[in-house]
Amino acid sequence: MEVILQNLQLGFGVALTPVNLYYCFMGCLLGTLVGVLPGIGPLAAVSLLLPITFKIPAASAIIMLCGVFFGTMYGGSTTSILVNIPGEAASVVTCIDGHQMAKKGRAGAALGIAAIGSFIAGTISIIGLSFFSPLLVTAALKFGPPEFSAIMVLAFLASIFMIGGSLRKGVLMVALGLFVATVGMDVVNGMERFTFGSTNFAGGFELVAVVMGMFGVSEILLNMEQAFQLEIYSKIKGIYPTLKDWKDSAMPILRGSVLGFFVGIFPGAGNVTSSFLSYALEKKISRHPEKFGTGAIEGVAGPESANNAAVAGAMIPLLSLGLPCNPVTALMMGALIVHGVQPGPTLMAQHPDVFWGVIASFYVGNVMLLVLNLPLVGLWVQFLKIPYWALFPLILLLCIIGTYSANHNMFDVWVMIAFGVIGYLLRKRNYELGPFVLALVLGPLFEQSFRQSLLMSNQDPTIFFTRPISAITLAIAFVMSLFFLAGIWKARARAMPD
Amino acid sequence: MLSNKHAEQGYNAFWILLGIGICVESMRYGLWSPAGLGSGFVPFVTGSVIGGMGLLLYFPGRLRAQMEHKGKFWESRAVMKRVLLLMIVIFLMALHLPRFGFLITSIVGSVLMIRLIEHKDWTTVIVTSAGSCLALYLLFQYVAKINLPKGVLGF
Repeated sequence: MEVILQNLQLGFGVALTPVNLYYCFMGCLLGTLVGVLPGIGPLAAVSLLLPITFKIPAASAIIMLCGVFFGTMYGGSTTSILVNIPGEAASVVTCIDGHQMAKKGRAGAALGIAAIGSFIAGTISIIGLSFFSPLLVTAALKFGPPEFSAIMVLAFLASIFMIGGSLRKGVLMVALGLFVATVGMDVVNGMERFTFGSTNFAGGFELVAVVMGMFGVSEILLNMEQAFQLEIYSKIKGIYPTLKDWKDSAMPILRGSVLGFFVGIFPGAGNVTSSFLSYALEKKISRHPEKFGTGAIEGVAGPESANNAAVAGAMIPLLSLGLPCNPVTALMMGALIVHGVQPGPTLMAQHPDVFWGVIASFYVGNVMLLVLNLPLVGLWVQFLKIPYWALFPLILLLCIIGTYSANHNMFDVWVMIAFGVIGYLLRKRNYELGPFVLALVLGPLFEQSFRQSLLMSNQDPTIFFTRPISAITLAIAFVMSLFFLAGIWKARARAMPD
Repeated sequence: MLSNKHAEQGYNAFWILLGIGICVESMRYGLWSPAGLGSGFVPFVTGSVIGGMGLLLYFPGRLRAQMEHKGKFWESRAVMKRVLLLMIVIFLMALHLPRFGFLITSIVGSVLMIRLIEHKDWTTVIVTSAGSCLALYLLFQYVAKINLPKGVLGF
């Protein structure tokens, strides 16, 4: 306990330097701004802003990206409540009751409780992050390649099951991500694969180019298909919750915080799952479930708290194990690697400034976000009024700048465009891109761990089942798969006509 | 107009062919060696899964076929035209970026894009495009010190 507090002191020393305060603030500000815009979620926001972080120190870069991640979560609720369009996927459930509240003239209360709930949940989950991460680091130091391979298998499976939609398409996306990750130099023996003699392919695809294309360009192409006519409830009164609002929301906020934190740690789950689970839980235990869907404040407080708590939860596996459990943290891992910082069990010892600085910046960022989101809510409403015809070209130009600035190479811009078209075509037919990005980032690490494991055991694959941690992880993956498959088959049987 | 059913079958045929292609190419790198797994092993497995899933998706169950194969791939010809034209604009921008530089290419590209998205009057379109592109250029070139592509005119 004393050691953790000492380390936190070190972290605050890093997070409270003027330069890091600036980057934290910019991350929170830009994250909230992007989160407010409908349809652009944390993944697109982090990928768009990723190149900006290349020229700044590692600790500042990750602090800024964490601010963006948290900010999009805060900002997403504004759009859900005022426009009935989720700013990001985790805010889908906030639309249900949040928008109903806005229609009844209680937009201020809904926005207020969403921001305050997010703040409380953020604080609780950051305390959890501060204490859980060092514990997990101690355990993770005993992990070898088989354990890491097993955890990555669990992450891939979880990402397939948690996204919903077609299971086959989910599996296909993981395989496609793993394949794209193999293009270029073999991590083990240096052999060139799928380069067809081109030096451009030798280093593999630039992560930034692929992600910018998949999320930025494809987003614009998809939005070209629809006309945006937003009905905005911009009259906001009484942003601070009443005593009754507090009474109704206190327990949903606490339950959402705890639930979101633990769901966030779980590979592949994250904020979307946590907000849906929280809504289902609140409805289930409510004395008046019929109120849900008509403007129940509990339906806003619980899910909004849960999705924010999941952000800090998701940072635990990344910082402690070096394993991102959702696509956003996968991008953060990419950002750290660009700076020569390898997240994982050794991060705490080798880069304590990054490890504890990031954790401390969460506390700081959470306070900044509360200040940004409560008194300045009127400003964010104005951003909702930016016309799309002016916004989309800007997003595309940001994608081009971001991709080009990574290596100053036009080939990367072509890669971005190609993956933009691929992403558009995939999203048109409901292929989820999350599992693809996760597999793309984890692919090289997975291949390396897998092959090293077999080398360790003289090519005996039972190594994955004879080492306790690896065996338990694979058992969890197996049971989880059975559980989800049973649910899918049951739902299918119910939906089938007689 | 392309129906979702035909589009889906096209996608699945592509996955099958891609899977086969990956597997064939992977075998060239070697799947196995006396020292352990070869460079082609992981791509071979991914190719098999891609091809296998493509095959499974090619023969959907009755329920999934009913749910997924309804409707058209593009809502209307106008939508299809807009999306394809935007793709062409993006392609042309990338093509001309090294020759004309970021500023000129982005202004011209932005004008074309805005006209594609919404039929605003030319003055609004040109002023918005020039203003936003110039702001981006100054921000990234001089504040963030990111070297953007320079054209024949040197900016």
